[in-house]
Amino acid sequence: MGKGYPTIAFYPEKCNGCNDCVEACAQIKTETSEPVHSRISVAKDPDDEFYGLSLCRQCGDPRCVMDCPARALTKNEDTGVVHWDETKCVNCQICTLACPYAGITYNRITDQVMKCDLCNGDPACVKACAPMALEYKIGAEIYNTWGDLEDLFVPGVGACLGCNSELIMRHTLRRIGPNTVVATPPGCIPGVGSVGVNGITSTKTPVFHPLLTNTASMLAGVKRYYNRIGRDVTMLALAGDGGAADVGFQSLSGAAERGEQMIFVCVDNEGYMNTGVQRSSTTPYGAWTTTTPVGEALQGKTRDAKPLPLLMVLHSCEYVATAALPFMEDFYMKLDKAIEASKRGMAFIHIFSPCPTGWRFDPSQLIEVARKGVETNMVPLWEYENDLGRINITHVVNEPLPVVTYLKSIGKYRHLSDEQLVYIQRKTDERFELLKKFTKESKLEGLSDAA
Amino acid sequence: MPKVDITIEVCGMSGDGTIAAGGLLNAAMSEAGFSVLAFDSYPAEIRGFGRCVTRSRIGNEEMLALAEKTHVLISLDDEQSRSRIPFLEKGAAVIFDNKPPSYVGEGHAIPAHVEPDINLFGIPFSDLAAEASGSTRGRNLTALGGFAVIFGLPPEIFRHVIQKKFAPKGEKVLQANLMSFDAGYNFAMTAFEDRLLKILTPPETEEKTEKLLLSGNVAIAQGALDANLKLYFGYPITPATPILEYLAKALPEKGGKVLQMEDEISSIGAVLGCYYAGQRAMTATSGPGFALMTELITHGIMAEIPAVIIDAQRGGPATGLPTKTEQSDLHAAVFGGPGDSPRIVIAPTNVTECYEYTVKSFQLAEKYQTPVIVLTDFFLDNRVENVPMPQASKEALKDGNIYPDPSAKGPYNRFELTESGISPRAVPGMEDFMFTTTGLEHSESGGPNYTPENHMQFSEKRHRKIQGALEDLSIPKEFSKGGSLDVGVISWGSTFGSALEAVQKEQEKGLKVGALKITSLFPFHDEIIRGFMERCGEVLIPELNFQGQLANLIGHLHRKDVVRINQATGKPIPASIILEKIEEVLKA
Repeated sequence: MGKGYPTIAFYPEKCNGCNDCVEACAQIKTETSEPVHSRISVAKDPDDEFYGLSLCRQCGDPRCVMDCPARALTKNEDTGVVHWDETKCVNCQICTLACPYAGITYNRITDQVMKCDLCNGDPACVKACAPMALEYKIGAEIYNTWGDLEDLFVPGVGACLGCNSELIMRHTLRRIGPNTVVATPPGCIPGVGSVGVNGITSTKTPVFHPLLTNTASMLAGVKRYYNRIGRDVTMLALAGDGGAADVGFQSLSGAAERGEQMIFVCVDNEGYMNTGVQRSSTTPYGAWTTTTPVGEALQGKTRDAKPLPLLMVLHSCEYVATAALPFMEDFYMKLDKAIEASKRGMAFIHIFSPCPTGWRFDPSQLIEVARKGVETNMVPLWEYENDLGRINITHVVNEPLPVVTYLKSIGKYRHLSDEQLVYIQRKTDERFELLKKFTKESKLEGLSDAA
Repeated sequence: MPKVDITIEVCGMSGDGTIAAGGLLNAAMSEAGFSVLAFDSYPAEIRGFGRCVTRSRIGNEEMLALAEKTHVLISLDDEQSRSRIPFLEKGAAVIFDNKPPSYVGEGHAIPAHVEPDINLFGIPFSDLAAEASGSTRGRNLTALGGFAVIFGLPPEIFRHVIQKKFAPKGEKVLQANLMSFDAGYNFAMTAFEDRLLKILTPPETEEKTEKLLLSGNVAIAQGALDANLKLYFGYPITPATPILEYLAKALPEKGGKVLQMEDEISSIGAVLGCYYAGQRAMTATSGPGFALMTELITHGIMAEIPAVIIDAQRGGPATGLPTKTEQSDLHAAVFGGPGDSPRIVIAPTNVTECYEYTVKSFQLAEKYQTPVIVLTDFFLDNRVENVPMPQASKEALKDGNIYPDPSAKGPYNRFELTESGISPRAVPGMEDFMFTTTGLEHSESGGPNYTPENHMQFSEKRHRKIQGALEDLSIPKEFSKGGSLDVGVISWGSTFGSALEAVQKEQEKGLKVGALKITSLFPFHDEIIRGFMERCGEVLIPELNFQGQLANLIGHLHRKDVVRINQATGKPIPASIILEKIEEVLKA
């Protein structure tokens, strides 16, 4: 089982460059307010939007430790702190070159290197940071808990660069485990090789590649039989938005209404990416696709996306949730609940899945784009538990970013006019308000009023 | 001038720009005045697995089919191209990267693997492209530069097609590509000075008819546009998606609309709805989508509503081989669906016919008030031919509907029993012509009627009507000198080109061999087909499916068993296989 260590997390968008952290660090380490003694610093290029941080991350696999010729740097396996031993240091400063975070620096006053030691678990800088841009936290909790689970897809599947579906496949199946039948209808997930290629399957569980129309009904048949013979196997569907919200919707809706026991994951990349970027019913308003082109007659899609997860709530599923992968702990928590719920009936997880190839953005920005989707409230993260009868927002965004910050980072929205942007902001707000109505513990209020 | 007939392949990994290079090559050869028939193959999976191959057959006569052997191989990735070596003609030219990028596995360099007679041209594509344009991305263009010099083609033709392709992407991209091309051109000019082949000097013809490079899919879409299609309903599916995408752009510009539906059931439903209301509508799909449509197609047959459906066949059953070709939906197209449900099924055999048959399908659907299925296949949809811009005649564009006489008195019988089986069709909203439309069996008025006499009578009416369509359907075309034949080859769809090529080769040898092209698959001209068969010693039917579906359909017309050549490999059938079979039958 892997181990998680404490670290100091930094939120650049909250940092105002006040340097209180620098002062606090110098103070606690040397009782002076000389910035030269601080183990932490923040800086910004004139062109940059945000401040950057120089601070030791207490890496799990530290370069400084590897590169130190005198073994003066060591990783403490208990506390996780990368420890600098003054008595062994030969002052070669190779570590300052090795560290990619400028986390260990040369102090010209003391003529020695210096680095953060996390103040014995109570860092002064974090306490001093008024805008809460610094946070002391234990990293890799997911890794602690799930690190030893087997990845049930082989390495090297043939996804596009920066593919979100690959992450979804791997994490979903490693959590749900090998006692599973995976059904995945035509789309990107089979397309990247989960069903296989050239006679070799890349999934380490039985894979069922049904048709687009019938993923949920075929799984229902498998499960009903297993129930009859008393075999406990999890049914997992990994379907795209076409296989869930368009052509697959009839069988999904029917299975949900009958309470078929399965976990149905909709990987929503907002269109038919596998066949070359056509629109689907979950493609948002204004988005370019090859069948909602941008030209004189049209400027992208003219209709709003179908709110599939809300529709599934209205099917009285045992469990419904939305997820996005920048919020991995949230996602794992939802998988846990889905596994439980699928023993009673349908658990439906709708995963927001930006697609660099089809949406036209740089693959390195995948997580950032997904994060902005959530933090603009365009993709609120929530869950619905049937026995509670209400929606619970699992990631509350206190100050939602304007939708334009999300839209402008994606090529498929490049053409949007000011009017279209205003419309999308208004719709986003309206949909969020509608969602909030389901969060109130009021499901019986109306009835009692009437009584 | 000497006869030119060479096949050029570009082969690389997906991402190498293989398909783009093949496309530019075809455009340049077309502009140079050659005939072109080209077909690409690529994997169904997203990427990383994929070998891409473009095959272009170039000549100065009309090209009927792909050839089996390759005369020129342009290798962008030797690891992938090694698999193409067995297809090389003796003495073929191979243009390859002699300083390949690092991702090409060691030990794959093509010179070590080919026969000694192969004419090798090593050009450092990546280095030259990087040097000229600052990036190796243009290495496919560098390869084309080398090709142009070696085969003696004027560089202006290539520069012009590069200009046409890349100008919309901005000056920087255009210049980078032009410079990459020139780098290859200049390098090859000096490096191979003494051994340039120069066998492709453009033909100097007196008068060039303007030719266009068209794929079957674009020809279909263009045919629909010219036929004044107003509404298109569709759902993405390979290989029919390009029709949807092409029309999504082009149709709104002509005041029409493309609607992407949630599945194929809705697509055909909307087409029937639209045509019921009196407006031309169409959809295109492939086998799996066609299967979903069959119930509604029979609704169109029962309720006598026109519809145009393109079924772009791919390997099946079920999801099958999404990016491979096959002619295995014939039974589904002719017989698919519940009940006795006769409909019209036609199948073009080349790109020009794709255009013509699409135009014609609307009139047929209207006149005979029935769904018309146009069967194409991956090889026909995605092949590229250079053809004179097809143009529909005014006659072909006419409204095919037969409306009731507005001065008629008395109650209107929408499904009036007539000699031809065609009942004049009103559309909703015509004053005094109220009627009911239903998928239930009905009487002349349209009201449900399940009496034994009525069902017999109306089943007969629907069959009579469709059999009557034979007078408007293209008759089978024979390619022979007539008289008695030792062997007759009957073929349909994309396979016909190969069949004809094989037959022509035998005819050149003076053998009594003929070909029959069938484009009307249901109803079919049984008398004509039987007449042809009667004059043949043996009848061969080559097709791209396992069972021999055309042979099943028409084989009974022959006095003895027809010889089936069934190929279910996902690949077009080469003329050589048909040729071999003809020889075999002749010897027996």
